[in-house]
Amino acid sequence: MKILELRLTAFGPFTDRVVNLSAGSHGLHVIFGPNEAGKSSALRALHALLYGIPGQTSDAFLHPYESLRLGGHLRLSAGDEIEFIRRKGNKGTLRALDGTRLDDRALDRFLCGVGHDQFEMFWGIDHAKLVQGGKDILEGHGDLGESLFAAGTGASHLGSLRRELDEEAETLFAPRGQKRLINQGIGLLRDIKGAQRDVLVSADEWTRHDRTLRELEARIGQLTERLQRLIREKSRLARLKRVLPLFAERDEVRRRLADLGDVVLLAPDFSKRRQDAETALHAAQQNLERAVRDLQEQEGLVATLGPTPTLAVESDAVTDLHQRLGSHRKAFSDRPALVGQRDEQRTLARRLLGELRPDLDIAGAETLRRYLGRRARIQKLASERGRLDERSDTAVRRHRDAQEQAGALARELSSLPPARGPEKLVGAIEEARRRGDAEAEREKLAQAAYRDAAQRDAAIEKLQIPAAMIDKLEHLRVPTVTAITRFERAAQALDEEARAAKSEHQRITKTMREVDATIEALRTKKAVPTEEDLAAARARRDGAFGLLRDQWEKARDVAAQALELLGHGKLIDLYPGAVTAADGVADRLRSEADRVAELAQAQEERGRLARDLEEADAAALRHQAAVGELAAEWRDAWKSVLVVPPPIHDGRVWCQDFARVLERSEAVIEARQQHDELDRWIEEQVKSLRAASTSLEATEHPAHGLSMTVATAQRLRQRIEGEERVRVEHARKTLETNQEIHDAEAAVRAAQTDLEAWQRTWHEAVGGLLHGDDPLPDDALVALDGFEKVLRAIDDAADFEVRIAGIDRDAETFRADVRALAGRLGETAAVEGGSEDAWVEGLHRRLAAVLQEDERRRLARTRFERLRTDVVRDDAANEAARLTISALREEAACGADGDLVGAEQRSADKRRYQADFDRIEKDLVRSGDGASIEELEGESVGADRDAIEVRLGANGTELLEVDRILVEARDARATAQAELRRLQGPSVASERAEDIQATLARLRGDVIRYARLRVASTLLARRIDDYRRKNQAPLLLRASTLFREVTVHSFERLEADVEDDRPILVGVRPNGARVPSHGMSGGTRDQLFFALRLAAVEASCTAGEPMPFVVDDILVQFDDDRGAAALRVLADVASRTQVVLFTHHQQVRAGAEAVTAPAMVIVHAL
Amino acid sequence: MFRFLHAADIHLDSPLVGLDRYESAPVAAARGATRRAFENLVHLAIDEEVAFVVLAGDLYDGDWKDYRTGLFFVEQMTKLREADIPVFIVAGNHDAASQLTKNLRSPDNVHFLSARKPETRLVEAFDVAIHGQGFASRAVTEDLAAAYPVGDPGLFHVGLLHTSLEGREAHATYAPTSTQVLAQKGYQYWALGHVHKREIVSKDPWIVFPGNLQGRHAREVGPKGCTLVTVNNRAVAGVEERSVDVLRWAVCRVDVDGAATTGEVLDRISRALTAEANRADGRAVAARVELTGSAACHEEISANPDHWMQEIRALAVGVSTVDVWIEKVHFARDRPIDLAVLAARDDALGSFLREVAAAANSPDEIAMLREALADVRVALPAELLSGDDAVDPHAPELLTRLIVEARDLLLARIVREGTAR
Repeated sequence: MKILELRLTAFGPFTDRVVNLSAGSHGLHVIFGPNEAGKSSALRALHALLYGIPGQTSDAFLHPYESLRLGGHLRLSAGDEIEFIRRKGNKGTLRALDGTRLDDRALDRFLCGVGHDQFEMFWGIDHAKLVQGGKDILEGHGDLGESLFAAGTGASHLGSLRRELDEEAETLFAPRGQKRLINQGIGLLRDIKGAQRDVLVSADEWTRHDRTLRELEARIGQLTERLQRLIREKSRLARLKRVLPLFAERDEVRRRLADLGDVVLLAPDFSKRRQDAETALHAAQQNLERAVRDLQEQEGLVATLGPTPTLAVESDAVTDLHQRLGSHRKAFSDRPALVGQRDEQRTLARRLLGELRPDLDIAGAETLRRYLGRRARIQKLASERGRLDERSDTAVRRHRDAQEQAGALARELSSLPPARGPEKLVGAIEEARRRGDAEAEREKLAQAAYRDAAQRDAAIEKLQIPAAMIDKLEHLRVPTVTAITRFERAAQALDEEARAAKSEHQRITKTMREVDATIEALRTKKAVPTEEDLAAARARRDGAFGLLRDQWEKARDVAAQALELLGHGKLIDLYPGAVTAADGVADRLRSEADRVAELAQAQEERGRLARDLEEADAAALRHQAAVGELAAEWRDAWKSVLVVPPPIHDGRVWCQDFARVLERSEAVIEARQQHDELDRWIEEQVKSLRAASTSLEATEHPAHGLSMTVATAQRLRQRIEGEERVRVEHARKTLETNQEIHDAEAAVRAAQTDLEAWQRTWHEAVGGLLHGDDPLPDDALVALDGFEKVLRAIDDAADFEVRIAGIDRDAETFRADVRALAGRLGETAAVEGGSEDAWVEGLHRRLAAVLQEDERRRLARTRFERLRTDVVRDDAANEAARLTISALREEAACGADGDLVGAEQRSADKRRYQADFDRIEKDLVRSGDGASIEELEGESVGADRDAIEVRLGANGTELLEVDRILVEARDARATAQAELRRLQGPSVASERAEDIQATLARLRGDVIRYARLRVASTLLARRIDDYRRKNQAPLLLRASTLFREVTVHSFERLEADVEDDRPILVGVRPNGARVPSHGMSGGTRDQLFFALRLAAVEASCTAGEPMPFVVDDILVQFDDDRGAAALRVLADVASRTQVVLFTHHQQVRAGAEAVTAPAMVIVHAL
Repeated sequence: MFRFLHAADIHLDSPLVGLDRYESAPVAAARGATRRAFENLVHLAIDEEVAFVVLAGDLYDGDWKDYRTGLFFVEQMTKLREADIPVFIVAGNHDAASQLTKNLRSPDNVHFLSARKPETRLVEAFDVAIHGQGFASRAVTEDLAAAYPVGDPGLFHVGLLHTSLEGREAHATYAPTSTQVLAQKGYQYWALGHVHKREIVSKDPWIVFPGNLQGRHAREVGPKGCTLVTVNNRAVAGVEERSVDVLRWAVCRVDVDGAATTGEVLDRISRALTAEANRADGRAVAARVELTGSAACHEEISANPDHWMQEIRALAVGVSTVDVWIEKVHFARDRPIDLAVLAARDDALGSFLREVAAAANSPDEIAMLREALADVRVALPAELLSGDDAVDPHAPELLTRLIVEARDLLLARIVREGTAR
């Protein structure tokens, strides 16, 4: 198959690009595209053309997905060709040139069963595959089989593929492995089966456990019953043991209660209340006595203490002065340091001022303070100055750039082609497109005319009109419709007549047959006597009588006459017979008169019918003549048209057909006229388009039709419009650049104005800051910092001054206060002469003693008041206690206080005995295990207290024993139940069975996988070996030649050798040296693979339909000589099949152009 | 009016076959499946308040010895006893050989009909007579039904029989009989067992195989369960199939013809699996996936079928809320390119394909492949070398299949390595 043309209608960067690959018998086509030119897109397009545009493509950046279009023109060796369009999509992507849809498999015949994968693998090579091929040879140690098979299939990584298969298989199984999946699975299966046997529960095992359990249940039942019996007995004995002493105790308490007799029951708190009242009375008496005594003592003490002294009155003033004394002293000690600091700040201020403004003294420095107030403004102005400078610079730079851009645009304008007005061309194109696809329309008209003419001719032939008349159809004198109608009616009338006559004839003959039959029937049934019969019978009678008379009268021998008349016999004997016969006929005539009449009527009828028949025959003859006349008239009407006219009843149809023929004939003429008119129009359009094109540019027009011419013109139009767009774009840019220059100038001016305004403001801000002119921004800022320091030092000195003055003022106030106090205390003399500090100190100490004394005095008075209150309270308490005791006496019904204790004792005894009785009864109820006291008394009657203990002992021993046995039995039962429960649970064995099936399922899958891999590996090794054996000789021979060429005779040939019992490939130097693959350089190995591949491709071209061999930039690593040699070799291959070489490299293109024979080399630049 | 349940072929505790427990497999869904199906049967009987239950043989698997299985059966029968539902059972071929049947002590509502001669039991409350004869030995080849008594017109008669009738595909011939013989007995309903596929053999009289209770492998597909029979006026008024299976087997055929990408193939499989899962009424599904047709991405799949098997298994996890277990995947053999055309070319790939195709018929090549597989064959346990799912690597039909699969694998991997796409 050869690709004649690859049309890049809309694909990648291409629009309506055509690569003509038709040159050469096959041709080496070098498609050259520098980077970005779309070389890779073109290569993808070639694949996409043949096998479809992939769903995800990188070639839809200019044209959207749905618009991607490719076109192609292919040819098979046998000469079959196909032209088609390829669209993007999943189905129905093939179209004919006229847009009609082609079958998806329309290309199959041209692709000869080569799928896309195989085309790419075998019929293509790129740099990566070349390098991989070389590497495979190295990795396979030049294995001959692998190398040949790889070259033969285009496959790579064959060696690693075999290894991959074997390794995959080994992960599944190894004969002596344990950790491989299959080995593991087999081991697991064995383990599970073993485990399953262990967990199987047999029927015996179950039955045994079940029986044991039942026995244990029965035994536990018996033991439990016995145990309960024992427990009941034990309980009864224990009860008796408990209640017997209680009954004895109850009897004793009952007796004592009776002994007490009647007793007043006192409240339970009576005794306490009595004791409390007695204690309270006693305490109240004592308190009263003590309080009276203390009051008298305190009264004496208060009298001994005197009034409050004056110093205590001045206590606050003294304390205040003493507290101020400390700070007074501290201020005095701080004062000298403050004086020093003040002086230091003043010196600093003077020094700094001398440095910045020697013209000013400290007082004058105050004038500087206003600048500090402007500090923010000055800083803002300083930074604004920087921005203004930068803006000015930018504006200047922008102006300069715009001017440069303007210069460049001016130069570019001079390089643009002159403007061409495409209007005429556009008009011509639009006019040419006005009628749509005119050429198709013309073709349609031609076909219509042809089809109509053919149909017309066929119809004429069917109408049997002589060929000579075809051109004179419209002049033929065909009978008019009216005439035909007349003929039809006449013929119809004749037909009807004929039908009526025939029917009449049939009726007559039928009736005649019926009449004949009637006559025949009348005659044959019994001959009807006629008048003639009667006359004959009578004549015979009368003859016989005459004969008799003759015989008798004349004695004449009448025998002979009698014989003739009557037959044999005697005349005399026969005569009566004749008489009888004549009478008989006469009788019958009379008796059968109806039948006679019927016969007569029938005969008459028949006669009439015979006449009718004759009449009918005559009418038939007349009719025949009329038919003949009509036919002659018909022929006459047609004589100018047809020799043999159609039958009358077909005449109308013939005329209708003829009318259609006439119509069609007119259509033919009209279609031809339209066709000719369109043809002329197309010619005009072509001329007009070519004229319009040529007026714009010397265009070479192919001798194609209108659509091609339109397409060519359209491309020219697009190009011109493209140029126009460039020019418009250029004009827009120039306008923009001029505007930019103008804007930049304005910016420069504005920057200047702003700078001047700034200068004025600056002067306002800093004028007079320093001696002389306005300082620069940075200087001004430095000076400001200095002034700030000067003013801060001056301020600090002032602060110190204020603090010193404060100290002096406080000292004077202190001294005045001291003197005032001394005056109040009458100690003025003590503070004379500056001894204030010592006086205050002493006074403070004295005050402490005076204050202590005064506190004692106050306490004594307070105590006296409290003691007086106590005496009143204690007296009241004494009286209350007496009243309480009196009330208690009444309650206990006692006459004297002394009886109270006895009454209390009796009440308590009765209460205690009563409580004991209740307690004992409660104990009885509690100890009685739910029985009533009466029942217990019943049970106890006659009980032997001493025997109870013995019986209890025996019962306890038996109880322990039974209980022990029962516990054992229950344990055994629990064990048996657990065992049964275990047996009853989910079937572990069935879970193991499930595990076995799961393991088998896994193993089945793994075994199939393993076997598939092993079979694949084995088959591949075998096939590689087979291929080597069958193809080694021819392939090596051809590859030798190619290798020699490509290596520029650095190697003489390739040979098979053996290494480690395995055939390998070696190169042989001209000097006979044998170089194994690993001894070759990487590039040479690549070339070795290249030679093998080409040999295989050539062999395949011979074996079947050759396919184009697509080479993608493989020569980059070849040196110049080998590159040129490789191109020669490819040119050589091109004599067997089309070779399409894609390249980015100029030197490859140049090298290809330099190749001469043997095949044609065509370079296409993208 | 009353109803009764008819079930057969319960095969308690027999495992499901062919389910590889791959990583995401819903293993719990298959655990104890036959037990859970049997529990469902018992619940159904109680919920439907049936008059009685008939079981037509094969409660157990013949060679199954674990007594726990029998205890489980007794436990379930006890539940029916509590609901006052009697159960009538004939032993099937499997039960005849089972140790369990002989030793088990069943509750008094369970009646095993005699294996020596036909036995008739009456359910007096409903005027029902149940006739049946169990299998005394594993292989019963005489027509047991022939000796069943003729039914008395005043009662409703149920004939209980474990039989292959005139013969059923894939089932051994046991107690053969014919519909004519059965029809002559004058019974209204014949409750049969042994054939694992549901079938209504006749409607006059009713002759019904309910199928087995739970499908156990990929050849037992579709709903499985029992038959609920409604009787009115001594005549069958309704026969309903009730599914009690817990895991449903399905063969999921997916046409991948024309699929452009593996994504599309997986998408189609996913849709088919979802549809299958939806049909299972919330049960887990064990699906065998069979792909047909030729996908454009055929080579990509052929290059590594194991990988795509894993993909499909992973896919199955998310297709439905019910569990889907992929039992096996049969990949399609059709391919978009015509191998015959490719094989016809006289080049390396063509001769490769021809020779591989010829290998299946070449004794030399077969011998070589057998030798390559001898190691693994020796190591395999007997279960894998025989039976329905045997994987004997020396078996001719398997070898033939392996050669085709190996060819596809090689072709796909050669093409994968040879093209840069």
